[in-house]
Amino acid sequence: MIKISFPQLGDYEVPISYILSKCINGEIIRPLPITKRTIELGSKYAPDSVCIPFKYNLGNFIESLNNGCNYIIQAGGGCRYGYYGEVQEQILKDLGYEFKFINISKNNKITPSSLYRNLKELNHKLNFLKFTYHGLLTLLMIEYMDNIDNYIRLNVGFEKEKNSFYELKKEMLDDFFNNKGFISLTKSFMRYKKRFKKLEIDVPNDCLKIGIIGELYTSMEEYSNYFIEKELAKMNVRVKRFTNASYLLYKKKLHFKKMLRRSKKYVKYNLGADGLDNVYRTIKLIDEKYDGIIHIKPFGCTPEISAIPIIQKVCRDNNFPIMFLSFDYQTSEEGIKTRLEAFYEMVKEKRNNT
Amino acid sequence: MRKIKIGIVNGLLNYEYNYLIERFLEELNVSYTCSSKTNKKTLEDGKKFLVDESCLSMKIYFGHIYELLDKCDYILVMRCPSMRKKEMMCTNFYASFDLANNIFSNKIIELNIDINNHISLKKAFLNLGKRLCFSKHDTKRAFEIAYHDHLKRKEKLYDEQQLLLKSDKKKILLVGHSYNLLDDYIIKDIKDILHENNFEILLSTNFKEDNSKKYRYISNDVYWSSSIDILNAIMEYSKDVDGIILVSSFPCGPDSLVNEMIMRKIDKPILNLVIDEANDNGGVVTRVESFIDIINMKEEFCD
Repeated sequence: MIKISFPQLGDYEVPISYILSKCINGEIIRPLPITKRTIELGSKYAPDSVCIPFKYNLGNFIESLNNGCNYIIQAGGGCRYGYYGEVQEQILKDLGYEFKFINISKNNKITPSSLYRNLKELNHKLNFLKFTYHGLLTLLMIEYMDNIDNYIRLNVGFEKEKNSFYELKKEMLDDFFNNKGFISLTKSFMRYKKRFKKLEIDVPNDCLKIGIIGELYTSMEEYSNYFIEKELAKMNVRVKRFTNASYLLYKKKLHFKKMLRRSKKYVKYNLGADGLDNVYRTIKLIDEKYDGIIHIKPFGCTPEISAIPIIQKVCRDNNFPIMFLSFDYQTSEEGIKTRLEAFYEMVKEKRNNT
Repeated sequence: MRKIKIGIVNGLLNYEYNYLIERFLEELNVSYTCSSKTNKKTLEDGKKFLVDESCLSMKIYFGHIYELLDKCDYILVMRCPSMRKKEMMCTNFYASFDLANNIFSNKIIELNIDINNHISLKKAFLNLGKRLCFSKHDTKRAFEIAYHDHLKRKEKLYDEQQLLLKSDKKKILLVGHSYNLLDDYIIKDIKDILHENNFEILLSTNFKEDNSKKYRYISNDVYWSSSIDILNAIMEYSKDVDGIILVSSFPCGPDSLVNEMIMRKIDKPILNLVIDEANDNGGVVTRVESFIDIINMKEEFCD
C-alpha cells in the first residue's frame, strides 16, 4: 500500500495532492503544518551551513514518516535546491527509516516527463493521456489559485470583517480540489472571484504599496517568513509578490528575454536561479511607483546574495527604500516585527515628505 | 597607440586557469599584471563591496579586483556558468561578471564560458581576442599553444602527485576547490602542521580528468562540475591515504551538501574544516592537530 507524502509549500499542498491522488492508487499523507517542532527536527539532522528550506523539508519528511508514510516525493532545481533530494534521502535512511524516495528533479531541472516516469513506476496503469489531462488541470488550478492570491494580497489589509478573505479562500481550495474537469474548475474559479470581489473592503486613498521580492521558498511558505504578508496587512499595506508556483513552472521561461532587456542597464547575463528576476522586479516596482521593497531570503542563499549588491545599486540610483531580511533557524520573530515596523514608518515618512 | 594592460585576478577559478590566460596573453603580446597573493588586506577590501553573508572566496576575489583597479586598464573577470555539458557551477560564477561590473564600473572585461549555451573554452578565448582587437587567426593560434601548455602543466602536477603516492610516509588528502587549496592565506597553516608531523600532502585538485563516472559511488545526482571533480579525486586517492581533510569556505553552497554525502559514504577518518572570515588560526590548528592524533592512534590500535 502506497502512502505518499511531500514537502509543505504554502497552499500548494492542494494541487500537489490533487495530481498525486489522480495518478496514484494510494493514500496521500498531507504534511503536517509547519511548527516549531518541524524546524527543530530538521535542524537537528541537517548539515550545519545548509540553507533553511532544507531543514524545513527534512522536518516535514521526518514528521510524515513518523505518521506512517512509506513514499516521499521531492522536487527542486535552480540552485542547490536541485541537490536536496539525494542528501535528504541519505540522511533519512541513515536515521533508520524505511521508505522509497522519489526525486523528480534531474540535472537540476523538473520536467513533465521525469514526473511521468516516476509516477508510472508507482502506478503501472497510469497512461500518458490521463497524466497529461490531470497535469494540465493541476497547472490551471495553480494559475487560478495564484490569480486569487494576488487579489487577496492587495486587499486583505483593508477587510471590514476580520478573516473573511482567508476563510473564503479555504472554502475555495476545497472546491478546487473536488473539481470535475476543466469546465467545472473554471466555473468555480469565476464564482469565487465574484465572491471575493463582493467582500467588503475599505481602502483609503493614500495607502502604502510594498513589493516583496526574494527567494522562492521563503516567499511561498509563510511560516518560514514569519507571516510577513499578514503582518504587513495588519499595517494596512497593499502587498505585491511575484514569486508563485505558476511563475516558477512556466512564466519564468517566457519572461526571460524581456527581463534581460528591461534590466540591461545593470545586468548583461543570467545571474543564476532567481537573481535576474529580482533585479528586474526591483526596476519594475520602482517604475510602477511603489513605496518600498522588502527582499527576503534564507541565510546563505547564494544566488540572492550575488544579486543583492546589484539590487542595492538600482535602489541607490533611484533613491528608493528597500529592506533586506535574512531568515535562519535562530531568527527572532520579534526582531523581524520591529524591523518591519521601522521600515513601515520610514516609508510612510518618505511618502508624506514628497 | 598606447598598449593596453590587462589585470589578472588571483581568485576563484583563476587558480586553475591563470596559467592558460597568462600564456594566451603572452602569445598575443598583450601586457598583463597579476594581483598579489591573498593577504589580510585583500579580504578586508573585498568585504566592503559585498554582503556580509557572501562566501569567503568571493570576498577575497573582490579584494583582488580592488587591488588591481589602479594598476591596469582592464580587469579580466571569469564568468563560467557551465564548464561541461549538462553540469553547472555554483551560482556565484553566474553572477561574478555582472557583480564586478556594477561595483567597479567600466573597467571589467569578461571571459564567458558557458557550454550549455554553446560557448566552449575555445570560443570564450576567441571572443576575448576579438574584444582585444586581434584577428581570429592570431587568437586561434595563441589559444592552441596556450591550451597545449596548460594541459602539459596539469599533467606534470599530476605526475608529481603520483610520485608522492609511493612515499612511505603517512598521507593526507586535502579536498576542496582550487581557490581554497592553492591559496596560501587559507591553506598554509594546515599544510605547515601536516609537514611538521611528517605527513605527505596530496591535493584533490591534481587528478586526471577522464569521463569515468566514479563519483556516482558517492553521489548520483550531483551536478556541480567542481564537486564532481572533487568526488572523482576522492575516489581515486582515498584507498591510498590515511585521512581526508575537507576544506571549504563559509558558507559554500555546494560544499555544505556534498561534504555531508562524502562523510556519510567514505569510510576513512575525515575532518571537515570550514574556513570563515575570522580565520582563527588557533581553532584550525587545534582541530588539525587532534585529527593527526586520531590517525596516529588508529594505527597503534591496529598494530
